[in-house]
Amino acid sequence: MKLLVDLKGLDNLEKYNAHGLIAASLEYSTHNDKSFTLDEIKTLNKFAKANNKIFIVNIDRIIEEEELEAVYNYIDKLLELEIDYFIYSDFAILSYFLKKKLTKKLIYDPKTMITNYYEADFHNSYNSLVAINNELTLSEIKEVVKAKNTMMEVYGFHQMFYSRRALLSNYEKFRGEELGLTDKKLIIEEEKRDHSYPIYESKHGTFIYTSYIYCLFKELSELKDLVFIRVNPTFLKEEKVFQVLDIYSELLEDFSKAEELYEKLKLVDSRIDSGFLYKKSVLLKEGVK
Amino acid sequence: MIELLAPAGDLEKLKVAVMYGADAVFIGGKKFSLRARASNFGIKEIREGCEFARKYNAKVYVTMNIVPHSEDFEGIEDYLVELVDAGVTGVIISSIAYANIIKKIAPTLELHLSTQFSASNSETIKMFEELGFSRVVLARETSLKQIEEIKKKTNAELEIFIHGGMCVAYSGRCMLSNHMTNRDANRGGCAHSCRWNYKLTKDGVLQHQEDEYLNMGSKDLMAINAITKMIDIGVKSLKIEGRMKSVYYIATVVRCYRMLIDEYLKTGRLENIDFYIQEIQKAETRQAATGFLHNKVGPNEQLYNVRNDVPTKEFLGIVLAYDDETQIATLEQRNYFEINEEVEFFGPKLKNTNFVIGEMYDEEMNELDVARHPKQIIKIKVPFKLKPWDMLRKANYAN
Repeated sequence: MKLLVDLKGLDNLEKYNAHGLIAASLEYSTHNDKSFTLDEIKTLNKFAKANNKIFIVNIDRIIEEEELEAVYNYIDKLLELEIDYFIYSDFAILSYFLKKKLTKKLIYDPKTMITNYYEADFHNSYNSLVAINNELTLSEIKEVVKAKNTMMEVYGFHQMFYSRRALLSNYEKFRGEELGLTDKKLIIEEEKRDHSYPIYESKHGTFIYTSYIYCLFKELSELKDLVFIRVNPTFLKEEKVFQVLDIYSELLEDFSKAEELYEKLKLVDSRIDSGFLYKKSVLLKEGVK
Repeated sequence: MIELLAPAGDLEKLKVAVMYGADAVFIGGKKFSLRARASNFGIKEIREGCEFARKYNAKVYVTMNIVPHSEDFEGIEDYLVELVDAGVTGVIISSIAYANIIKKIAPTLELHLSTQFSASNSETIKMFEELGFSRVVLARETSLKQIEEIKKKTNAELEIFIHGGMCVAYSGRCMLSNHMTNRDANRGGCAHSCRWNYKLTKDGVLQHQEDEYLNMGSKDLMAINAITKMIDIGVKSLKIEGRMKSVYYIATVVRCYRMLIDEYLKTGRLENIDFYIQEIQKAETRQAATGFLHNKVGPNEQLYNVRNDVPTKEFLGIVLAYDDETQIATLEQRNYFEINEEVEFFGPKLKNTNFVIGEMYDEEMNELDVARHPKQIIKIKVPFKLKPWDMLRKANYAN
């Protein structure tokens, strides 16, 4: 089990205490609060290689028909850099890597679709990895990791909504006012519920995140078949991310310290929550037949 | 030949959809299907539905489009055998794991990729062709121009949504309902959280008045003005959404698109597209737009300050029988109407025909002035021939 983290910038790279670094592509990733140009990715790749770290580029956006040629050209440039892995969610990417016979470099991360062992195991036929859905119970996750090709986001505000629509700027247009709602973190709260959800509109669409920091920590000792665990630092201050990485790194060295380390983790940010790990979702509202 | 594909939430809706002109219907079983509340077809009903559809040379597809968890594989093999035996033509799925089981257990079933997978480009579709899928339901985010390009580069049949509800997120990529209500939209529990009212704050400051809200919901899709283009492109199937809609909605919408398609296929043009728009509006209770078909969506495609759908009261009754000798039609009442009211009959083979109600009776032939009880059996003297399943609606629907 190796620790990965999404990068929040070009500075302080040495403080990212993880086995692997993930850089979100400016053009082809879904929202991450920091994404990188191709030149920046080249710089980061050099740093990773010089420091024996795995380097991963996130190109997890849904690809539209007219973008295919451009995204494939982009991938070709990245392949010249010998990037270790690519995170993707659109099968157009899988198709291209199949032609290149490089599917072992892929991590399929559609957020929601890997919900059972068989779905994960299918990607073993390509010798590639998959990201497990974050709305599963612990017992369900235990089944999926048996495929032995899985990654899991274990810490962070989790992306739970991906729309192609520019929902915030459309709202601005509807209001007829310049409110400055895009490219920044805002909060939505449903009128009858008290949870607050971060929302962000980028040029690629609108994204909504969990009201809490999803945290899978003490349970990791039961999930040793996970190939990668991923810390997602979206909307978190970099200093906090470094503390979180140190704690997860310590855990990976000695799982017996889980309880003690978890107490330290809670002090970094109290908004952590186990999400669906111990809560099974239902199909229908109670009373609906 | 292009296919008009209609939703059917139960056996009555399936029959209405087929009689009113659908070439195929999609239905959900009690397991493995989204729209949990609309999925009330047991195997017995599926078999009866297939037998009925076959008489009209129509097909039945079954949705198995949940994103399955480990427990959602229990009983699937027996279920697939039963679907084949019942006469189902194909299944709509989003799970590759399900696809592999289907290919092994029920290889005669067509595999259709659900829109839950948000297939948006030709390379993705080619991947699914390789995996044995004969049809792909494209993401609702694709434009006509993109559909045209995709069609040129792929062999799989393309199925496009033309009418009904729209997810505001990429289908399959929305967990709002799960997080807000503990109901998993990818397993049939969608609470339509995208249509709720939200307060929006930036740096702790409300971005609207106290009594206003941010809305994110999408207007429904209505693609009447894009159908001829889709036919020209070579789209295989035109899909109407709405397994939870009423029989009246199904009848009106299916019949409208049937007439439109038939006119275009017969004459190569549409004489009066406004007629079709007016027809659709007789059933529509929600605001509609063209989604992504022509452009990226703007505020005109979004719903703002709309709290609830207004139930339509246009549907007055359904014809059960007609006596040629007495010219008495027997109807089941669905909404209030009264004598001297101008109404409109329509049906699978009946053009819109206006009529002022003169004589009206209850089941025991007692005279009535008004039909006020839902499901009440009503008899009306009608001077033209009607058939079972013809329907009665208000004539002055726009007023």
